[in-house]
Amino acid sequence: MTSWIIILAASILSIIWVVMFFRQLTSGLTATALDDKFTWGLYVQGFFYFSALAGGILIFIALVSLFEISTLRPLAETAAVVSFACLVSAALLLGSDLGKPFRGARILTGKNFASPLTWDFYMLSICGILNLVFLLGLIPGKGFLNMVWSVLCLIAALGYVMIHTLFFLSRVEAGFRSQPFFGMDTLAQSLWGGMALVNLIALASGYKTPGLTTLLIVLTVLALIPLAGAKIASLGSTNKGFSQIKIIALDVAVLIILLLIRLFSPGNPIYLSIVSVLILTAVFLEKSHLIRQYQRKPTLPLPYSRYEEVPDYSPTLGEWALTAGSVGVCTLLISLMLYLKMP
Amino acid sequence: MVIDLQKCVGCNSCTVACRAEQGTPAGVHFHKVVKYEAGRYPNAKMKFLPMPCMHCQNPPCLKVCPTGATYQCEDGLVLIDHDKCIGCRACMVACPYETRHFLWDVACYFDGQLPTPFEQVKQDSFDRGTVVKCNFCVQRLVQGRLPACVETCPSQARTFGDLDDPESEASRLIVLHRGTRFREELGTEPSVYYIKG
Amino acid sequence: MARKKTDYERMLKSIKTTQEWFEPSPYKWQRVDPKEKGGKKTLYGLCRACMQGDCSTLVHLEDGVVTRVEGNPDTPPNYGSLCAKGNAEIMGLYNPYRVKTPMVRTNPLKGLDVDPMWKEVSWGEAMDLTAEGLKKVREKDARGLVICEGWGERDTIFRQPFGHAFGTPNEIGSHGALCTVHYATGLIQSGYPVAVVDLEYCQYHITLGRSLGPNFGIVPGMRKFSKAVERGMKLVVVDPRSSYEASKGEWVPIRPGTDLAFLLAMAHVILHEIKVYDKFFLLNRTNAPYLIGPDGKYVREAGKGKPLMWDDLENKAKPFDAQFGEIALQGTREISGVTCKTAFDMICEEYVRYTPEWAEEICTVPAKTIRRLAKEFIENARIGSTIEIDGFTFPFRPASLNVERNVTNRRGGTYADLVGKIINMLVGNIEVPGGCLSCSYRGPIMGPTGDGTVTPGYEAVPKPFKFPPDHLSMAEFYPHQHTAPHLAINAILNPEKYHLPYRAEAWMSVGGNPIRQNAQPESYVEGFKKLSFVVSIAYHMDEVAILSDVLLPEHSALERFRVAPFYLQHQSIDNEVNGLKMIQLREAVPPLFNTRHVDDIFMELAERLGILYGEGGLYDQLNKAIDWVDKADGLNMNGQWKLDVEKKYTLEEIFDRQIRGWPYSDGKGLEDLKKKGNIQYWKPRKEFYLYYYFPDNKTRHPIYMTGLKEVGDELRANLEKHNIGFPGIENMDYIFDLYRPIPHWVETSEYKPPKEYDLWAINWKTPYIGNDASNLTGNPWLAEIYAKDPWESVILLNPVTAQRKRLDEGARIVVESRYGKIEGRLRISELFHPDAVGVGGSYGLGTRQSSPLNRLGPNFNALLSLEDKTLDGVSGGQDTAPAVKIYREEVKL
Repeated sequence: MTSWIIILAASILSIIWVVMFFRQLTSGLTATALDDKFTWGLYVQGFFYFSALAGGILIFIALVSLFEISTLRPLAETAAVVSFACLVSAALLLGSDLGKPFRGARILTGKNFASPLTWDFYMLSICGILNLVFLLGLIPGKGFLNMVWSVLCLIAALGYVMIHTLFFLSRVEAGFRSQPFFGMDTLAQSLWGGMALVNLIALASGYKTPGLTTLLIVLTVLALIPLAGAKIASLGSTNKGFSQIKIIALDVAVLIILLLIRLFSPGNPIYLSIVSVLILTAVFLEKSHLIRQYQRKPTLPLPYSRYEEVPDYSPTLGEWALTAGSVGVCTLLISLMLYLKMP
Repeated sequence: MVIDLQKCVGCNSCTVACRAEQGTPAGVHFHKVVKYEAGRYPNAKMKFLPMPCMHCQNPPCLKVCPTGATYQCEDGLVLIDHDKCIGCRACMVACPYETRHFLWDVACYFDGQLPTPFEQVKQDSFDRGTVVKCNFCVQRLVQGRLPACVETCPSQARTFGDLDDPESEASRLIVLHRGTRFREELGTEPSVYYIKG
Repeated sequence: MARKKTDYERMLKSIKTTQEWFEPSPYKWQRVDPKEKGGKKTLYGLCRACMQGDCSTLVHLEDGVVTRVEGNPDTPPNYGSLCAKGNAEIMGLYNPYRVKTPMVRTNPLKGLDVDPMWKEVSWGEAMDLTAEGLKKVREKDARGLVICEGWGERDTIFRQPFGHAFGTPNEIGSHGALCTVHYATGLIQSGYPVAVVDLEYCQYHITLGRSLGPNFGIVPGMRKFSKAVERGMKLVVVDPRSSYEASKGEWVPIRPGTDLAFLLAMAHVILHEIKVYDKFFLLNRTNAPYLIGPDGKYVREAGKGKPLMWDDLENKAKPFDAQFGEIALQGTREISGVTCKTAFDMICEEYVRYTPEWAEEICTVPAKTIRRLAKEFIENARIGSTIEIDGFTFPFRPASLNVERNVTNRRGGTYADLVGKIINMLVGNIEVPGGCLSCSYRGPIMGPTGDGTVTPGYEAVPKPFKFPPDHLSMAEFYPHQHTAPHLAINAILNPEKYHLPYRAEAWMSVGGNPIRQNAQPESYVEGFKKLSFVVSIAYHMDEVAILSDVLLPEHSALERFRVAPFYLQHQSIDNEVNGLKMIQLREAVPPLFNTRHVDDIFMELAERLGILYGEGGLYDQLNKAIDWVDKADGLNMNGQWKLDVEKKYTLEEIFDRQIRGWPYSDGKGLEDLKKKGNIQYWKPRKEFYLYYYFPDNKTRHPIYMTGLKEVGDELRANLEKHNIGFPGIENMDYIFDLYRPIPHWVETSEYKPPKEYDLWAINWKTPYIGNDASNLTGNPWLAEIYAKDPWESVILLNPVTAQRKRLDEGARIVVESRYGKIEGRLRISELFHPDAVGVGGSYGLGTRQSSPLNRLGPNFNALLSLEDKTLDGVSGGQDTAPAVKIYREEVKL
């Protein structure tokens, strides 16, 4: 019953996505709250979010396959469906964000390998292909092909996650605001969110995953370190880092909750679901912070920028609708593929 | 380009000449003059920073463009091939000088009105959903003329020339007055120098 | 679901929600004419976006559409550069808010927010109605027609002749009441309109209340200024605001409206403390040594002959043009039992009390600074030095001081202007290289009168008294007035008070908009409602147009065919144009709408009124007219090229004749002009400095203003003869205190106001909006930029003052003077004196049917006053720094 409700909701959201996308095609990106000072918003944030989740899950799957942990294999197969759907959502959101979405394939012909976006595109495509291959059951549980696939998947997923650190974020401000913690940050967020999603999948499909709580605790700590480091490194600046504090506070709260669960009621599905949703929210907020912190910058240094307006961004209803729509498409795809997988 | 900040009086002739020459849509200016105050009463002064595209020699926008729409020609100018641009706006996030504009919409000048004949003629080349920016009036350069902003400046504060040629007026001014560049520490190697500022 | 608004769009939105505005349907522009497709054309242009209106441009057309207006390279005065306003002219052409066809009002109710319910008519009908309306007025009393001119239309040669042919003396400029800056230069140097700095040689310049070019974006001024600054010229700007120019030199903040005190103190320091001045100049080129009797007049030879000076060597008084052993600059003497002093002594005596400490109390400039500036001024003037130009030796004085409208426009403003001249005369820099130069006709105009002093020129020549008065603008009572729309509207509202023997019936507007650009707009609207017929030769739907009965649409600036003489620039001068005589051509862009050239309108109107041909007709008046500024060097109808008053001419034919009759055209005509767009003639540079024509002791500049006293005495006598007081003023002394021969301290109407009015509002021109030519406020290209400019269309306040008043950045506040109030957004800026409230540019008011941009921003003019007691009695100038109070705007519930 609940599955039918979910499918219905997902279908409605998908239709919303289609409508909003076509609206955007006709009126251009003026339907969003973006402007020249604040060019990347909810869509790019959503793109980062979904691809981070997909990356995290793929790393999990790759490790499961590489080390041939057969007990986790079924979970991995279900998780693969989710990660593929996430990749598709990410692609839809990115497509919605482009000024000329139907020219998107030019990234292939552009061949500008200095650009992190090109690498993004290639890596994500490879991830998608590998994921699809896995989904179609073409990868056996063991053997040479399995190892090759796992290694490739690991490289592609890790590569995608780390690419922004290596190329983009540091170059964007060319040392102005980049910090050494970014690589760790994106990787940690990706794994953390991915595992939380896997946890949810496990809980939903009634899988027993002992040790997952411990893993989540470790990953939370791992996620906190770069955030705290970045906050300490930026303590001297006059930028309002309030949102950073809020995110750190949330992460610490998650840590405490996880510890409490571990100590007092390990394996409790309700608490674990709640904390997983919290983790997913935290990752979403962190992506939002990532997008915003580079764009709220005046042209001149203080105090000369007194007359420049600090750009603000608050997504319009349309943008939320489109993003929610892509979640709906994601869910619909998951349902469809699961339905097809299970006769 | 070399801009003399002592001569610049913030009149914005360059900005409007650029608009007239390029016919950019409403809300889009390839050139801007940032105006600010320095000092406290009674020693307060107005200050101005004219900013065309810096045409960096190490341009961050070129590096992040996934389709290669942004390219650098052999003169050193950084230009955009509008047929290749997909409107991802990575270049705008990458540019530390906020010099690029995304055509969210090709709006007309008089709010609530239809495009004037000027816009009808000039704005065919503006494609909604792509990114545009200053191109140092390359269409004038090939005719042997100077960019519109340089020619129109009433204070003659701007000089345009070959930075590779040490005898050119631009190079000499940079050496004579120890020209500096805006946000040099980012490593972008801009081609626009400021003197006496 | 709209995206974030740009500043420009937010501006527009705020107007639309707070003010009434009718939503027009968008104007459907015609598509490009297929015949023009692929065509490229370039026309010679003459920019008209600012007061100067002399930048040579090239107008490029593609497919029959104007796509670029740029400077014409290698052509003076701009040599290829062009300011923002000039570049934006295209939007003045393709402006959907223009008046596009003749229209007639059908709604008898009038108001700025009242829909006239226009009816479109043919040109024939509109002209018929206009001719009928004007004919009625002419038959009743020709003086009943007011022709109001302004900067909106400066491309007409027929406007003044039309007024003369019609028989009305009432040609009134809408612009001059806030810019009465002409008297002193006319009196001291026989020049017009103002005195400017010689940026070619000047090393030290003190400027008050004016611009050298950059402050309001005047191209030739900016060109010269940047070169002078590079050369090392030191500029001192004494102003309540740190402006564009002040940012390139030294800023001396001063309390608004108190410049007279500063100038008097500077003169005091030079006369009594430093005691270094150009003695040779004072003795030989001024009337400083003239002996003055106890009645304040010259002591003359045998009571009525030439004025006397004292020879110290021979120890006796002699007429000024006699041979002298040693002229006495100082000393009290007895001549025929009458005690007399030298004029110089009298000035020194008067100025003893104007110490820098006294001035500091009034104007807040520290006494130390006043002393320092005076010292630097004297040092830099290099008294005694000379320079050779083209083989002629001139005195060289590379220091000067100039004042203009924000100093002269208040009671006592003429005195302030004169004190500025006195300071200049103390270093002897009048009309010599590096010094203080006028900007009109270059020739032997500074010649002496019978009394040996410079013949007053232009507005220093008083208008004759007549009672009852002929002029609606009260020129009989203000004989040195510039233009006086405020006095005219006072006379329309209260004819009995001003002894007017007739009534103003008709108003013909030719580019002048005093409603928005003068003061107390409600009074103007009231006045307009009393008129029986208003016709507007309109470019756009401005305040005058919406109150009109008939609209005769005229071309925009780019569409007006014009041949114009080059006038010297009003901001500054240097060798780029020094000595240049030039005629410039504007080739007209084909008109877009059903508009006409203003001069064609005048010719046709004159024909319908029967005043085109014959003696005294329009053509005859044009024949008789002489260029006001450039006299014989302007474009006049000379000799054989005069018009045959019985024939009809086209504008082209008339211009051709003017060119051929020009003293420097060398036989060329219009066709020759069309080849290069201009005809130039360069005179030798030595002929540019007026000293050249009357060197050494051949003429004397008045430092003791007998001319002022004489006019005042005569006016007083005339008033007493007709047994009337000075209209609008209770005590006549209030006026005649301003006609004394030595400029002294007088209080303005805004000095020591009631306690709650503790600040003064100030205004300035901006680089985007020089004046009302081409409706620049409504130009969207400029609007997009001034929306982002931190100091435009906001109300500016010093941070200490803002804190004291507990007002935050961005708050909506009300600024209220005793005459009106405005509201706007507050911005805090360090660039302002703590007593100043800055409201710059020319924004606001607007009408129900104007471009929405014209309704934007605080309308400074609404704070100003039309009251007689606030004016300067000599020039009639209005006070531009009213005392105001500010408070937070109440939020409407």
